[in-house]
Amino acid sequence: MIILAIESSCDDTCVAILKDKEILANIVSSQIEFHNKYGGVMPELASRLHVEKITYVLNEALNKANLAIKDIDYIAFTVGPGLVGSLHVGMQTVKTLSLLLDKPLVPIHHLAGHIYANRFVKDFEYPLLALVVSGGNTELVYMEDELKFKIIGQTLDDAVGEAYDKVSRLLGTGYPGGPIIDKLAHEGQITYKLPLPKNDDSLDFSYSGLKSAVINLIHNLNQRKETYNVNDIAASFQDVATTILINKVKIALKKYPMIKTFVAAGGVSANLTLRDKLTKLLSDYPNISLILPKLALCGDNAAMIGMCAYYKIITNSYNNDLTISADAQYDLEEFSNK
Amino acid sequence: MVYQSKMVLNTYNLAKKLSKYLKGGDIVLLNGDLGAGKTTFVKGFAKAIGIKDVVTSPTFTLLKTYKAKLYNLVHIDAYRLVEDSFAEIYDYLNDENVIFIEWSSCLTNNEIFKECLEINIEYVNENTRNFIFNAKGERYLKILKEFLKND
Repeated sequence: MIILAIESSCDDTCVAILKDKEILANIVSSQIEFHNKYGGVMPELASRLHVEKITYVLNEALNKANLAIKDIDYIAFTVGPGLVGSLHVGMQTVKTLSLLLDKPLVPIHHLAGHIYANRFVKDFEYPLLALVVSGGNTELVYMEDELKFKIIGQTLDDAVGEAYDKVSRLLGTGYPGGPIIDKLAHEGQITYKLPLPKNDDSLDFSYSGLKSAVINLIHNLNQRKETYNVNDIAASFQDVATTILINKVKIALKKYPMIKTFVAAGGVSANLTLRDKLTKLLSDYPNISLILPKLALCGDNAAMIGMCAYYKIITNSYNNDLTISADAQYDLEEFSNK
Repeated sequence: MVYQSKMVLNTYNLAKKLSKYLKGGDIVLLNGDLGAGKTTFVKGFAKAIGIKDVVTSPTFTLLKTYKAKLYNLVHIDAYRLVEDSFAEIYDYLNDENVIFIEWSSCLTNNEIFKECLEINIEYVNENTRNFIFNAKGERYLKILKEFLKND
């Protein structure tokens, strides 16, 4: 089967074409450069840019896959969560195509897509534990079976990727903070002791306090007129930010001893320190298969939406509905197979 | 007027006190540096009006909504925006919602800021913040007067 997938939940316009589970095309048109120029995101402009780009990106995907639009069997798309204006552009595009081609729509949850990006690396065995980490999410997801999601831990305030962005802004090192801080941290030393927030037996996370601790650290260093190396602050922050994740994964593996597969998902899963630490941790669990997404598929992309759609299709559990609405706050558990 | 908050508990109490005066349709702007306690204030407000969901930072998604008994709490964060209007706000300008906007200084939807309550949070030291309240428009002046009177 040929699956066309569209992802437009934030500021990337993405179109992919899959033949079953094989990627024929995966085009990402990023707006980061554009938004960087202005130093932030402009939601109305983001959706206008999606409108401008979507047909162009769609054509490029078809060319790359060497297919015509009539060859498509299923049309998958991100229905939520995300920015409502951006989601609408993808949704109106797929509804038009669905009417035109008389092919079914397969609505997909954005985070389920991120988790299923790991299936391009290796097949899943259940139960599965996923660490979902990005600019907007920090969650531990337990999957008992195919497409069955249960959130067992989440952030109580800021997401880990958000903490990276904000610390990078505090240090004046730019956006997006994740890759920048990761790079600076590798050139610095863990010098400053920062508190380990939510260091308890729960599976919940907290990053707001860590952000405040970095603010206080910089404030105090400035007041004492001490010189400091930005790389050392980056290294100290990153050490704590990733240690929290590792500690919570450890607790989850203890609480759910039957886990057979562990995956990382979302933009922050591209963080090299986190990948190293997860690899090291999982080497102590020989019965659990560790999967880390390919670096190219950690960020937003449509291939992951197509992969998740493939499983929705073969389990016959999607709802082909032309009256469907974008859901900016779509709950992952609601997306689960019944 | 200036309030000093020495602990998270006090920020929560201040938010709880404010919750007694607001009704559906009201708009509150929250400004202050990173780590000032804007989201903490909204968390306190949510708790006071009986919201059980965890109120998390809306920085990435720009907007989050929560259902309460009398109205919905709409939590907006314009931190990532630059000098742009945010059209989605208009969908929520009605009696069903109380809207909190963090970093409203990044928005250009000026017409909706003509009548609102402004709270500026100033960092004093690690455990202390100043809360500066400012009312725009008759309704909010009245709220602020009542709020002061019952201090």
